[in-house]
Parts: sequence; structure tokens; C-alpha cells
Amino acid sequence: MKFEQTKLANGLHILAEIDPNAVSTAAGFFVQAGARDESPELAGVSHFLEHMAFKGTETRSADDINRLFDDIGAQYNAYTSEEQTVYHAAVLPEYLPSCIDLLADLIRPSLRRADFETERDVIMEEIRMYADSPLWSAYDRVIRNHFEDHPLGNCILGTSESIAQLSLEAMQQYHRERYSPSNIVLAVVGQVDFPALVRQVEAKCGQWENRPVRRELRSASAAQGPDELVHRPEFLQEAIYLMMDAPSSRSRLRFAADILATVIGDESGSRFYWSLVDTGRAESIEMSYHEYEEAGAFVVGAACEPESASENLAEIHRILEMTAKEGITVDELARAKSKLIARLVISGERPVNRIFPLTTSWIYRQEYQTLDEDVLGLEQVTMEDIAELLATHPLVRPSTVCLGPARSIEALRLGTMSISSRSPSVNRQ
Amino acid sequence: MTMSKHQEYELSNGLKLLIEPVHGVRSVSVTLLTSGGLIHEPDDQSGLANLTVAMVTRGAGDRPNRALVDWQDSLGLQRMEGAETAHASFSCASVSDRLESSLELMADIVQAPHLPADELELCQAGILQEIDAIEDDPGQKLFVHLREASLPGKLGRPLLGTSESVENLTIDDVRRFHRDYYQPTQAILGIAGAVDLAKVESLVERYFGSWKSTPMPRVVTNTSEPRNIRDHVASEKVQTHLGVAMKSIPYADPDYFEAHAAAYVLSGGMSSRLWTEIREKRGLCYTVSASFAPFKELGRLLLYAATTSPDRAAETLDLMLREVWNLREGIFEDEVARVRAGLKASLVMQQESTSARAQLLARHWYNLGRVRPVDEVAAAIDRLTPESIARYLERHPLEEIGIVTLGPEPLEVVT
Repeated sequence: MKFEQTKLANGLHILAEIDPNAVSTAAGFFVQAGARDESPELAGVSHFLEHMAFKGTETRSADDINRLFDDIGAQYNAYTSEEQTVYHAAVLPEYLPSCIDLLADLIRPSLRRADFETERDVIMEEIRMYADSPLWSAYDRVIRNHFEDHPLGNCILGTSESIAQLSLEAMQQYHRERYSPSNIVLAVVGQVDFPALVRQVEAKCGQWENRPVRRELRSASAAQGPDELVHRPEFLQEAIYLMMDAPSSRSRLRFAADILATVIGDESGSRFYWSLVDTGRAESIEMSYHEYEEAGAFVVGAACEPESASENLAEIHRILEMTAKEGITVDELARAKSKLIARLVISGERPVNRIFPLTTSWIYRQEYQTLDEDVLGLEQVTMEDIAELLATHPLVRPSTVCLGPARSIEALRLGTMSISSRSPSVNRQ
Repeated sequence: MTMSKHQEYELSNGLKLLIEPVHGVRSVSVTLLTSGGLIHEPDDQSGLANLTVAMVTRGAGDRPNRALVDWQDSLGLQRMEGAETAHASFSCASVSDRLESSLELMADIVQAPHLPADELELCQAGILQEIDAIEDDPGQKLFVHLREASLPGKLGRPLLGTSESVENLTIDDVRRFHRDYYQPTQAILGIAGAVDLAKVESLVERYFGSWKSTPMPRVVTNTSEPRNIRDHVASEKVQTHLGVAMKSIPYADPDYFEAHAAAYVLSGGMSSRLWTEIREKRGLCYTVSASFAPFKELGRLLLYAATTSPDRAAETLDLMLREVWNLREGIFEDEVARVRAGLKASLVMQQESTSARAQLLARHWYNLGRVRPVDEVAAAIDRLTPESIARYLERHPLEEIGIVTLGPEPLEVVT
């Protein structure tokens, strides 16, 4: 495994983790443009733009793009999150040049008016699809409440109102500003001829004009957002979401944060699991750690019967408080490490998976981390690190949203009633 | 990364063992298929296969429920299980030096589960909530109804059962089902990844060699083909969901790859016909798909889309059906070239995943009575042409079995 990287004169970064024995190659353009970069009147533009990227360039129609990707048997897709828009594909190594050529075209689309209007309908369908899901709807509310007026609380899809009034000109402007080459990383993992790759990207993308890009990075307040009860009588289940302050992407404690979330709320074998799922009190519950630039969050999501929501939320609070006070055990630490390391190693065998942690590390921390260094990072977490994490991020004052048929939930502080929905990282297909 | 030819063994108790060494990977994956699927459930006990799978993992061998999970987690064993049409399926992936523990875990679960009576109710409560979760997920719910309406007998049963059927199941039902069907006679164990062949065989013998078999109840699978199903599921959702089932061929049919290719032309990539006509040109849907669903006994082509308003839904359904019938008018060479490229790439990339390979070994054995080597699959993909697909469509004309819709209002279906 060999790592190479270079930067074009216009600021476009190229990374490659090269494995000459790989049978496939994964490639992706990671654009630092996401929901947090949107002003309220632009809500949803990053994600809408991701859809428009597939609509073609001056020389290639949307049909051409789709057909050419399919000609090489590419497994390709795109997604938009709070912080980035990613266009990625996996191909047999001999097709990498064609694949790069097409992915680069996605980043410089024509943005034609007729396509914009047709695609608006597709986005509206996507918004409606998520509105029909209790968990997505609840997540959308809790992240908004938790980050209050901070842009990390922006909804990735936007709203049907913001999408209806969004203009093509505003999208073009946003594209000019955020899709500057200095704001983009191209990463490739697998079998790749790096010098040839750089020559190709230089020829294809070297003339893209560089514009200075800044992201507003004011830190997110660790204050608790308002609790909210959203009455949605058409659902059978109550969705419960909690969000708490956690270390940011540059924190030394990020590995500890991953481990703590696993101990408390992994899908199986965690504190939440034994208390709520194994006992049949909830259908599902999971806690995860989300890292962002200059911010971080622990997120808990659960689904259960509306009648048991009050009791379950009280139990979630009890477990969080107890963990904050007493910490975790040595055995729990060891088990969480084993689990996370096995996941990392097994998924990291495939270029199509490996490309994501590789690039995340580069973008957030400007460093190359091998898979083994990631494993080591987890292995080295100590009980002291967990104690430090709990001292600095004590799992208190979660922002909470309950959404579903329940009319009242005791464990919520001052429930406000409202009816609405929508929501996050969403794929093109 | 390279794969060696797989090896086949059979234990004296009938368990079939299939091993595929993969070089250049650190992981090893195991898949065990045993009888105990939907087709084995008694008529009035829908959900028993799934409940049994959920119960056998609650303590096994000398480890109670929690000790079992803690032990597995401490070794980083990634366990997955589920009831399927014809099997209970158990899988485990790990780094390769943990293979012995994976085998011990799976052997304990299928051969020596505790099946604790006092945990049955907790387990049922969890499943009842999973049934609620499907009610809240219109896409999934549509598929439950579509399968039930379009597949004969127990093939189409809802995996989880119904609230009523699950509530009525007892611990004796679970114990009997486990005793009758979790047996080595027809079980298949697939192992793929970084393995030492000689060592694996003796490990499997150690953990599965004493698995006993007793006569299994005879299972009769109903394979009559339902026709002309029209069903609407009233549901207070924003979107309307559409499902269409067409007749297709079973897994072992010589036209397997042609049937796969026909579905691929409809929705295999973003240049596929359904995606282009319905989403790209008209913006009617976010999701539209066609999938080939082959079973051992028969096969289906399943179409699905979600959209809003009766007008848009009617237009979408009309276009979906039209594209299916248009297949008979012929398929272009460039479309088939894309099918070949896509299937080839998937075939190669699937080899990077030891869990995908382990699963395939076992599934091939069940459906074909042998493992279809990668070279043979590649050759079959290369042989696909517009003519071969057309001949398949002549031999096995796509017949509509049924249409199921779900949403706020029923749809006028004109066909």
C-alpha cells in the first residue's frame, strides 16, 4: 500500500492510496459544500445541485453521462451531507481514466433551465418520501433544534417552500462560489497509475478557475436546544432523537468518542441494547458519534411504541447520567475496541469503502492515516481518555425530539406541539 | 487479491461444506444455511421461522444470552442472522485468526440454543414492534403485500408474521420447530477468505461433526401461479407506492442470466429504461426499480415506484408497464453491452467481499446443487446478446401476475 498526493496550481488536491493487487479502483470528488454553507433562502441548494450535476455539460447530455458511466460498468452515486457533496464511483482498474473524465464532468455541469425544472419535481418527491418516515423526520427536527441558529442545523433537503422558490441563478452563483478547485479533493483507492492520473486531471481540471472559498466556522453552542414533541398521529411508532455535544473532527478525543458511543448505544451488546432492545421495550436504539469541522455531536435515535416512549426516554436519561457519573468498565472498553477494529479492517478491504475514512482524515486533519494507524488510534484509547471525554462532554442537557402518535411525554421538558417534518445525507439513487 | 477454486466436502451427518480461499485479504466469512425457513412453518404459525432465529441467539452452548454476545464482541465477530424463504441463515465475519471462534459460535447457536421460556415474551414484544415499523415504512409495506399477493403458498408469507400469529406462538412451538428443522442433513456451510484449507476441514469436523440428524417432516411447496391480482392498501401517506409482479424463471433455469439482463435493461443503471423515462425525462419519481427475484421453484420480476398524486401515479404505472412490454420489441446491442459491463464489474467487486462470497457458495449449492465457478459466470455474461434475451422472452413471456398499490387513494388501473 503506497500513498501519493499532489496539488494542482489551482488548488485541486489529488490523493491516492495505491494497492497494485486490488481488483477494483474507487474514485471520488469530495466537494466541501453542504447544508452548513447555505443561507436560509438557499436551503437545499447543495443537494439540489448534486442532482443537477448528472444533467450534463456543454458537450455531454444527461443521457450521455448516464450511458457512459453504465458503459464501463461503474457503480456510482453521489450524496450530500451537512459538510460536503461527494461524487463517487468504483470501476475495474482499466476504466479509471474514463471514470475520472465523467466524475470531473459532474463537477462542471451546464445547469440548464429545463433540467432544473424537471429535477425540482424529483427533489419534491424525495422530500415527500422522507416526510413519510418517522425516524428521518425526527432527526431533521433534532439537529435543527440542537444547533439552533448555527448552520449545522440546516436541513440537507431544504423544504418544499425553499425548493419551490429557489432560482437557477442562485444555484449557478452557489456553484461558482463553492465548487472552486481549492475546495475540492479528488481521492482514488485501489489499482492506479498515479503519474498518469495526475496528468489526466491536470489536463481536464487544470484550467478550472480558483476562487477563494471560506466556510463560516463560528463554533456551535453547546447549549441545549428546546425539547419538542411533534404529534404525527398517522404513524404507529414514536421516534425519539437526542443530540448532545461531542468532540470536533480535530479533537484528540475523537477515537474515545467513537468508543463511548459504541459502549452506550451500539446496535447490539451495548448499555442501551441490554436495557431497551433485549427486553423488548423498544424496537431499536442506537447512539453514534458525528464529527464536524469545529463541532461534534452524539446522536441517539430510537423507535418504540408511543405508550412506552415516556418510560424509555427516562431510561435513556438514566443510562446517560449514570455513564457520565461512573464512566465505563475496562471490559466494555476492550469489547468496543474489538468491535470497531474488526469493522474497520473488514470494510477497509474494499476500495469502495476505504476511500471514505481516507478522505475524511485528509480533509478534516490534513493528514494521511493508513488503515493500521486508524486501528492503532482505537487501540490506544485508555480509561483516562474516556474519563477526560466525559469530563469535557458530560452527556448532559440533550436536545430531544419525540415524533409520532404520543400526545404527551413526561420526560420531555416543556413540550411544544407542532406538525411538520423532513431530512439528511441523501443519495442520488 | 486472488481467489482459488473452491473445495467441497460432506460430513457424515450430511452437512455440506464449501470453502473458497481468498488470498490478499485479512478477513474470513462463514454462512450457514439450515432448514427452518418460511416454507417450513405450519400453516397457522406465520412468523415462527423468524421467532426461532431470534430465540436461538439468546444463549447457546455454555454461554447465557449476555455472555454469548459479550464473548462474540470481545473477539470482534460480526454476526448476522435471519429467516428466509427456505432457510434460517446465520453468518459471521471476522479477521482470519478468529475463524475457530466463529465456527464455535455458529455451532452453539444452531445445535445447542438454550431457548429460554422466560425470554419468549420479550422477543415477541420486539418483533411486534418490528411489524409496526414496517407499517410506518410504506415502501417496505408495499413489498410485503406484493409478495403475499403474487407468490403462491408460503413463499409469499410475511417474514415477521402478523401481530396475531406472533402473539399466539409458544415456546413449545419454537422448540419443536428448532428440533424438526435445524438439522445437518440439508444444511450448507460456506466459508470464504483467508483460510488454511486443511485446518478448516478439521475445525468444521470438530464443531459440526456431532450435529445429529433425525427424520425431517416433509415439506410440500405450493407452486401454483396466482393471476390477475389487483390490490390497494389504504394508507395515510404523502406518497403513492406502486408494485407490479411479473412471472419470471427460477434460479436454476438455463436462462438465468438472460432474465437478469432483462431486468437490468429496465433498471440496472442510470441509463436504464425505467430510470430514463420516468425519472430523468419526466421527474415523476425519486425511486423507480425493477428487480429479478428468482426462487428455487419459480421466479418473479418485481417493479416498484413511489410518487405523488393520483395523476402522477397513474402515469408512472402506465409507463412502467409500457417499458416492460416494450422489451418484446427488441433490445439494442449497446444496452446489452452495458448490461455485460455492469454484471462483469459486480462479479469482480463481489470477490472483494468475503461475506458476499461465503453467501454465494451456500446459495449456489442450495439452488443449483453445485457452486457456479466465477469463470463460468463471466462466460455466461459474455454470451449475452440482444438475440439471446429475445429468445428468452419468447420462451418465457413476461406475464403480469398482479398490481398492488399503497397510498391515500386507490388507483384506476387500465391494462
